Amino acid sequence: MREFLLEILCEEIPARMQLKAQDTLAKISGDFLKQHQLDYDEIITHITPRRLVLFIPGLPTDQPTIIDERKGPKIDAPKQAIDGFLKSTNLTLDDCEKRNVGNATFLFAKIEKLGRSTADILVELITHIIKSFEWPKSMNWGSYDMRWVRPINHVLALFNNKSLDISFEDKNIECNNTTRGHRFMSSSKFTVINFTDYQLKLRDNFVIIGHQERQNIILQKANEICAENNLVLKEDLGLLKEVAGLVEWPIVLMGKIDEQFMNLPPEVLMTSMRSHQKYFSVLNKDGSMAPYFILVSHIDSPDRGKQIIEGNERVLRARLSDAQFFWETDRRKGLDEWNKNLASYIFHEKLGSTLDKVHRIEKLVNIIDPNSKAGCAAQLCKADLVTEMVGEFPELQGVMGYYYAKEMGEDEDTALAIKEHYAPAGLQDETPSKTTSITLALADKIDTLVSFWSVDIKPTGSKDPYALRRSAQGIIRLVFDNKLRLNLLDIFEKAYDLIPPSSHKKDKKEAIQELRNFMVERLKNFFKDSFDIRHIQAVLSDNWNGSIVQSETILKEFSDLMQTETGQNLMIGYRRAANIVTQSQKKGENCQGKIDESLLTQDEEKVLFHALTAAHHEIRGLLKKESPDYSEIMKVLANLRGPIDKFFDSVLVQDKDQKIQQNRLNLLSLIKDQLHMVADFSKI
Amino acid sequence: MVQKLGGFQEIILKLQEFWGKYGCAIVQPYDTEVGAGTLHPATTLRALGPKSWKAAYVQPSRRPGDGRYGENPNRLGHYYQFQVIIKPSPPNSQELYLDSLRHIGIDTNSNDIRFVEDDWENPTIGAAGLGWEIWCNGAEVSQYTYFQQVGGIPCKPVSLELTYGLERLAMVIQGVENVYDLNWNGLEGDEKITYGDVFKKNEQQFSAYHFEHASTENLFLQFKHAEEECQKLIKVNLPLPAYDQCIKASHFFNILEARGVISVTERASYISRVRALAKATCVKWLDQELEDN
Repeated sequence: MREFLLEILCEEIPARMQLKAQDTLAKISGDFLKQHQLDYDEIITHITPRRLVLFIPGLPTDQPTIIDERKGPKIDAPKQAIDGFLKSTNLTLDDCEKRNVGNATFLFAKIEKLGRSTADILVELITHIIKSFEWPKSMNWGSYDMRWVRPINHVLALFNNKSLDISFEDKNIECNNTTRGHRFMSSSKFTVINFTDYQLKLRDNFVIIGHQERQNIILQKANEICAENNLVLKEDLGLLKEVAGLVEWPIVLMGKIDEQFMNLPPEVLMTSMRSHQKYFSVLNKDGSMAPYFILVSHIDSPDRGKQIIEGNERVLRARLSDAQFFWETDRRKGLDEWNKNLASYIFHEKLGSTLDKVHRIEKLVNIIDPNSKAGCAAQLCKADLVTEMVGEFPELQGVMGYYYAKEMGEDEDTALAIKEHYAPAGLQDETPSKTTSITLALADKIDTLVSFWSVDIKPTGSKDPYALRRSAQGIIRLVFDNKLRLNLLDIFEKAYDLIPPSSHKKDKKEAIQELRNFMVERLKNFFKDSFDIRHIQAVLSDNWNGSIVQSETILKEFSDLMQTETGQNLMIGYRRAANIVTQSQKKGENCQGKIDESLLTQDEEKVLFHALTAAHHEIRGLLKKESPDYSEIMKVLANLRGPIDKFFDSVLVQDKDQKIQQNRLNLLSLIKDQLHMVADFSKI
Repeated sequence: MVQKLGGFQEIILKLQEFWGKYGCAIVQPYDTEVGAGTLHPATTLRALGPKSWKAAYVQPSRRPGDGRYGENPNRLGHYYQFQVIIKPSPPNSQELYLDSLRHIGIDTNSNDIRFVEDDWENPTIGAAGLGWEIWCNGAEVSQYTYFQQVGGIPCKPVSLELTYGLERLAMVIQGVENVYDLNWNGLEGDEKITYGDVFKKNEQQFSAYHFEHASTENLFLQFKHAEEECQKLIKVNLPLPAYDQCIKASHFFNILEARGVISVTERASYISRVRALAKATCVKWLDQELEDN
């Protein structure tokens, strides 16, 4: 069995695209080989900033021979038809098999398709990879139509230790058995025999093809350097992956941060170093910021990185001087002054300024919690958006608000609420637990949802430019994690009233109804790992009253009920009733009429009717309570099982008397309606 | 006095020498205010159409909003770019660029040179390309772009644009942390002329002008006039003078923005007005190019 090795050498591939590209390459190649009936042992792919590497061992020298059978005309068909068939199959009449099918004899041709050589197919694979590879962004270069993430320089393609011959539209791209090493530390081209040889020679020429291996080296070296200095590396997996995508030969170095900058908040130092310079932060043993940083260079210089470290320290000083300037200007002006600038900071063109939004949030905070202490935090929560620091580092929104609020003498809870009101931002993000933070975070997100719905902007398909799904998810988690007894629909309505009528694009009822449906979808998604999806559908679809905590209780109680024999029987009763009603409705009968007690003839009907009526009143009474006892409600439902079962056991719906029959159909509808007060059983 | 390699002026001379030898036409700075070397017609317009083109030049660039009254060691409202434009983009261009760095005295074996993704975009002229910012020991010293479109028109062939940030590059070479301390003429002692000697006053006065004194009413009018003039010139098939009016409009807009009188929504609308001018000019220029062929 033979091995195939491909290396596409190109100009620097953006770090953020690399890991995905490695998987794409494996997928494209696997699909192509399968489609061409070529077996292999495995597919290994690697990526560096400059090369995409594909290694496939265990390939055959040729495709397997395939025997294709084709059915021709009958043996007694006109000569023309037979000649045509022979010509198209390139066979003589004697080569064909004559076989009876039904009561006629047909000609059959066995065509042997000789497998093509694997080398030919691999040449096609390479062309296919280059043509069909989907980069997040690709480009043209020179005068060519070829596209790639950046210009391709060279291709190494070896099969069975021999190089494959391919020519590209860009004739400068040679394809042979050579490659090059590190851009600066290795000088000349070298020949490669096989994959083992390739890896060894690249290592000798300062290239490590494994992305993961480069990550490991960086992490290990960085930890070593920190340990030697009695410090701890601030781990950052995202940054590690990015940095491993910026170098083929990582050299880890440590630089120093000037003492004068150590008064900056740690978040500012970290963000400034990370986002612009790709430096890792370093901590003291007690977890505080240490005045050092870790940088990953691409070159092992003769002066052991002296110039490189000095250069980077200079750049960092310039960056941090800017940050310090922002920090001082922002504080001098004060958060309440910055707040005024929000008047010209657009929230959305259809919804006015961020200051308008802030005013709405201030009111909403009191609607959510009349005793709220979050008023002050609400007033200041967006002010940091227009500060110099957040202008430079948008990811510091909220964080800077925290520091600047404390600077103004606000208490810890207020400052914390400003910082935390964007949370939870993602699934991993923690939900705030302080009351002021929760209230403010809810107010901000509820205003965002309601205001967008009021101007008829909502997510469609995969498009959600304002991250409204995330806001909804945030609301759900804030309420759920903190077990808040809130009726969101009530709050939505009040929030809608805060938006100036001139902005409204959708009337209140419709907007809230659509937002309710959206929230129900998000809730279903939220509960899908904890409950049976059919139960979620039954409980949430038509019955969501705006309380998330109650939704969970109903779901729990309902799931419990449905797991009992009573629940299952209730379900069966429901189905029988629903089926009969549906069929009668199909025949044009109306089953929604009022029940005439005088027409109830059998005891079982009477019992059922009284049970249903009693249940109706009981459930309604229970639901009216501020926090309904759902286990009681389920008991009421469970108690209906007996009368329903007995009804079906002894009462025939059909009756000679049309009026009695109609009355019974109405009774069946009542069963449906009563159960629907709690859950839509038809969704199960 | 011994002239030290790496004086600000010498970096320019060396770059001109390098790219001149390569075959570029060394053209002169454009004589209208522009925000970047890209806006010189030798780049914007010449990047369009099928004809080969190679040019290099220094371009004084004005970014009114970046002015800091001469007080920030890194930010300037007026600075220099060295611009190279090669159409079609040549093979081995990265090596060529690295050779140019070596030519101005950067040892690529002891400095950490990196190509870091940075797709360049200039919405005011509808131009976009893919490429990198080039780092030297963590400092961004150049922008490296393969033009994919200009004036909203796809580029075929693709041009390579190299933009050296001359001050930043000189600061790296000279190991200086304040731009005003840069050695301009490479001499020492009494004969030394610094960047501050040449430009500090300019930065102070222009910052005051752009941030405090520029008459906004006049500028709005000037913007409007330039816009009308550009549209008129396009109609009479004079894309080159039309282009001048387009970049003038762009500059007036930049001053208005620095002056803080353009709101967020207005901003988008002004940018799209300039882009419309740039686009129309580019289309007209390209039409004439294709007719000439």
